[in-house]
Amino acid sequence: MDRPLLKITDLKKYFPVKGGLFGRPVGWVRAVDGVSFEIFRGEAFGLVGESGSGKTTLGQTVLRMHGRTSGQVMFDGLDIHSLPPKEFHKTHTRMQYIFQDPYSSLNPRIRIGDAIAEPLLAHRLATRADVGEQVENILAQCGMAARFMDRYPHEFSGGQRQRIVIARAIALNPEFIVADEPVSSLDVSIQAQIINLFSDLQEERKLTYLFISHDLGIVEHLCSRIAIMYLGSVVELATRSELFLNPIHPYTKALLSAVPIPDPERKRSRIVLNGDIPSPENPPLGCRFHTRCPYAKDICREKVPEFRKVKDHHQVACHLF
Amino acid sequence: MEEPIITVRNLQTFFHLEGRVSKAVDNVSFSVPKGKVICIVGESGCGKSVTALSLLRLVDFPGRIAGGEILFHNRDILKMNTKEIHNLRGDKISMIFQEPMTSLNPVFTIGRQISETLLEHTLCDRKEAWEKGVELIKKVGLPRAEKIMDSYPHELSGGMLQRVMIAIALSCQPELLIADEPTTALDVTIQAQVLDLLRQLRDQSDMSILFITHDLGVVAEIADYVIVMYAGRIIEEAPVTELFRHPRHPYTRGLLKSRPVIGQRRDRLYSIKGQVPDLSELPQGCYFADRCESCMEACRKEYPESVSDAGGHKTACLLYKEGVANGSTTAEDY
Amino acid sequence: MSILKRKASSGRKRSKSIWEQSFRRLFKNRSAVFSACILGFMFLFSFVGPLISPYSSNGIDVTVMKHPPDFTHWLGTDIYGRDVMTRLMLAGRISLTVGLASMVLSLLLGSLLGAVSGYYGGIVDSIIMRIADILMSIPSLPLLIIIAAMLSEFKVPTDYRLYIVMLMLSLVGWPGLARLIRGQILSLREQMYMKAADVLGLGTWRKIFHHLLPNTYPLLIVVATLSTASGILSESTLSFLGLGVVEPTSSWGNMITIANNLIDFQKHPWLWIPPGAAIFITVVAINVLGDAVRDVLDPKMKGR
Repeated sequence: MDRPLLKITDLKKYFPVKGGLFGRPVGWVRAVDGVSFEIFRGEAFGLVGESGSGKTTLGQTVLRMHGRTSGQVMFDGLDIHSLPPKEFHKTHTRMQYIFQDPYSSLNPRIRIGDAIAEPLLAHRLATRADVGEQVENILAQCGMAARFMDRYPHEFSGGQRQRIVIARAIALNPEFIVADEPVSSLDVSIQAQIINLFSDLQEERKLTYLFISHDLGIVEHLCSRIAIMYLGSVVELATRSELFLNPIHPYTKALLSAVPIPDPERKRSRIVLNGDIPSPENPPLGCRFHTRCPYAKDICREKVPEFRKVKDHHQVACHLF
Repeated sequence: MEEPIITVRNLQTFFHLEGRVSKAVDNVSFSVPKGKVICIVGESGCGKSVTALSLLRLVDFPGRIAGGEILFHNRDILKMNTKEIHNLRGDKISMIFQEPMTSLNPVFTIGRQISETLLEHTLCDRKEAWEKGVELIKKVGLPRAEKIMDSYPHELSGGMLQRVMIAIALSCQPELLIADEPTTALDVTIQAQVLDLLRQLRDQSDMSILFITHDLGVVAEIADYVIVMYAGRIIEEAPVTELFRHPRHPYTRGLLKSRPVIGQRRDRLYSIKGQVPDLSELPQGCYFADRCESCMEACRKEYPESVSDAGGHKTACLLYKEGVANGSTTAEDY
Repeated sequence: MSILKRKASSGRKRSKSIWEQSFRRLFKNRSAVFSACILGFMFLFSFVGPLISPYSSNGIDVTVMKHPPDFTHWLGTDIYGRDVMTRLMLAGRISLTVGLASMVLSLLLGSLLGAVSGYYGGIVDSIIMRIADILMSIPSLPLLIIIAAMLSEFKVPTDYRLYIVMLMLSLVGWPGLARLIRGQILSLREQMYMKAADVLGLGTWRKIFHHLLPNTYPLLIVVATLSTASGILSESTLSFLGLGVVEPTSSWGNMITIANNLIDFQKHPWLWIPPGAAIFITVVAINVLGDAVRDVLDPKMKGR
C-alpha cells in the first residue's frame, strides 16, 4: 500500500431542483457534499449507507457518469473530471461500473455474447476473428457456459444475469471496479455465489473494488476498509476490524445494532433511531446526524464536525469523540 | 396450543402458462394460533407470497387454487361467496405488502384512505372515522398525526408509508395480519423500527401475524414459529429457537451458512450451488436434490414425506426418515 | 445482426430470436392469420393477376362498352370497353406500391430524425421537432391538394406523378412517426443498460442503431402497418379527386371517380363497386393485422 489508486478530494455533487417558471433551479439536492478518501491498489473498499445517503451518486461521479459540482477525482494520476474526451474514453478500459439491477442493465434485444463482445471491439481489445474465443473465456471465468452466448437476457435468472454483467465489465480487463449494490436484488443463496465470484476475481486479476452496499454483513465479508456515509458525507472510515469492533460514530453504532442477526436467543441492546433520514435538499445545520442522534448536544446543532483521524486507520466526524 | 385462527390444509395453487402447469404452492399445510407470529421463509419463487395471497383468495389469473382447504374459525374460505370474502378481507384478515408506495393511491390524502377503509367495514360516520384514523396513526408511532392525515403519499418516506399501511391494516382490529415482506424495501434502521412496532402490536392486541420474508435475520427477530418453503413445498418447520439451534434440512442449513453475519467472518462464504428448479418441470424426487450436498440415491426417486420429531420439529428430508441408514446421526454431525 | 458468428461445429443451440417467437405467437392469432391471407391474396391478385389476364390495361374495345359482368369479362367492361378486372389488378399494383413505398420512406425519415432528435436533444431536437410541428399543424389534405394542383399546372408527366404522390405522402407522414420514436428513445435513453453502454465506452452510432432503435421495432412495425393503410387511403382520395394518379394509368382511387356520374352510379355498379371493395378490404385487413401485431409484440397491451 503505497500510492493510492484513487484519491477523492472534497468531492461535491449537487443536483438542481427544477421549479418555478422556465424550470429555473429553486434549490439543490446535496447528494454528495464534501467527500474525501483514498483507495489503494488491490483493496476492496466498502461504502455503506442507507437510501438517500448519496452512495450511488458518489460511485457514479467517481466514474464521471455525470459531472461534479466541485472537488477532484484522481485515478492513478489522472484528473478524471478534466480529461479531454479522447483520454476519458480510454479510462473505460481501466475503470468499470456494475449496476445494482441485473435485470435492467442488459439490453433485452441483444444476445449476451454480443453484449460482451461489443465493448471489446469498441476499444479494439479484440478482432472480429478472436472475439468469440475471448467472450467464451470470460464467461467461463464467471461460471457461465459458452453455449449461453446466443441467448437473450430474459432467458436467464437474476444470478446468471449478474454473472453476465460482471463478465461484461471485466472483459475490458479493468483495474478498478465500482460495484453498486451488485447482490441486493438477488436471493440469499445466489448472493453467496456472486460474492464468492467477486472475491475470486479480485484474487485472480488483482482488482480494486469500490463496493457500495447497504448490507453491513456483506461489506464486512468482502471489504478491508469501510466508509459509512450519511446524508452526502462520510461520517466514519476505518479498517474492517476497527469499524466492527470499535465503532465510534453514533450512526455507525445504531446501524450495526439494527442489523438483524439470525439468532433468536441473542440478547441485544439495540439503539433505536428516531425518524427518517432528512431530505438532502434541506439538510440539518451543524452535524447532519443531530436530528436522529441520541447523544446530540448543543455544539452538534451549530457546528459541522471535522472529519479527523482518531487512531491509525480510523477517521470519524463527530463532536463527541 | 389453543385453537388456531386459521388452518391451511393441503393447499395447492397452480399457474397455467402457455399450456404448462407451474406448481407455485403444492400441498402446503399449516396453522396460525392466536397471538403468535408465524414466519414463512424462502427465496423468490418458493411460493411464500402466493401462499399468502391464496389465504385471501387474491390469486389472479393465470393462477388458480387447485385444491385444499383454508379454515378460518372452521369456515372454509375457499367455499365462501364474494360477499363473505369481501367482508373477511380488511376486516378479520388484513394484509400489508412490500411496496408501501404502490399500495396507496397517490391522488388521495392519507386521511381519506384510512377513513374510507373504516367507513367500508365499520358503522361510523365521516367525523368518527377521521378521529379514529388520527388515533391509529398515533398508535403506529408517527408524530404529528393530524398533519400526516392531510398529506399525500409522495410527501412521506418509505418507512412512514409502511406505518400508514399498518395503520390501515389495523383499522378494523383484524385477528390476522398477513405481512408480505413488509420491511424488504426499507433501510435497516427503519426496518428495526417497523419490526419493533409489529412486535409491540402483537403483544398489545393479541393479533396473529403471518410474516413472509426471505431474510433469516428478520425471522430470528420476530418469529415464534418458522416455516421454510422451497419450490412450492414446506421443507421444514419448527419453533424459532429450535429451528435456529438445530436446523435440519440441508437447504435451511445452507441458507443459514450462506449469509455473512457480522462478527462471524469466514474467508469464504458457503454457497448453495445451482439455482431453484423450474416450477413447471419439477423432478420426480426431492426438489432440492440437484443442489444438495447430502443427496442420496433414494432422494431422486420420490418426494420425501414430512416427518415430525417429539418436539414438533418437522422436516421433509430422507436424512431424517426412520429406517434410512444412520440418517439422523450423520446429519446432526455434519 | 449478430457480431459473433455462429460456429457450426460447436453445436451450441442458438435460442430462437425474439422475431421467431413473435411470429409463432402471431400464427396462433386467428384474425391475424385471416387478414394476412387476405392481404396475400390481394398481392397475388395485383402483381400476378395481370400476367394471366388475357386483356391489357388499355385494350380499348368499342364493341363491348359498359358491358355487365359475364364469363368473358368477369367484372364487366368500362366506358371504353376495357376489362374492369384487369384494370382493377393493375390499379392494385399502383395503390399497394404507393402505400408501401410511402410507408417505407416516411418510416426511414421518421425513425432516423426521431432517433437523432431524441438521442442528442438540445438544439438538434428543437429544430427537428419544430419542423415536425409545422408540418403537423398544416392540415394534410388541403396541402396535398394544393401541391397536386401545382403539379398539374406545371404539366408534370403522368408517369412521374406516381412518384411525386409517394413523396408527398411521406412528407406529411414522417412527423408523427418521428415524434413517437423520439418519445421512445427519450425513455429508453434513461434505461440502466444505456448507462451501462456509456460506461463501457460504446460509440454513438452503435448505441443508436444497435441498442436504441431495435427496442423501438415493435412500435415501428405497428405504426408501419397502420401507415400503409393510411397511405393507400390518401392515394385513393387524391386520385379520386383527380390529383394523384391520372388516366390512363389506373388506381383504385381514380377508378371510383366514375361514381361521380349519376347514371353510371345507378346503372353500372360493376364500375365502382370492385375498386371500392378492394380499398375497403385491404385497409381493414391491414388494420386488423396491425392490431394483432401490437398484441403479440407488446404483451402488456393484452386484455385492454
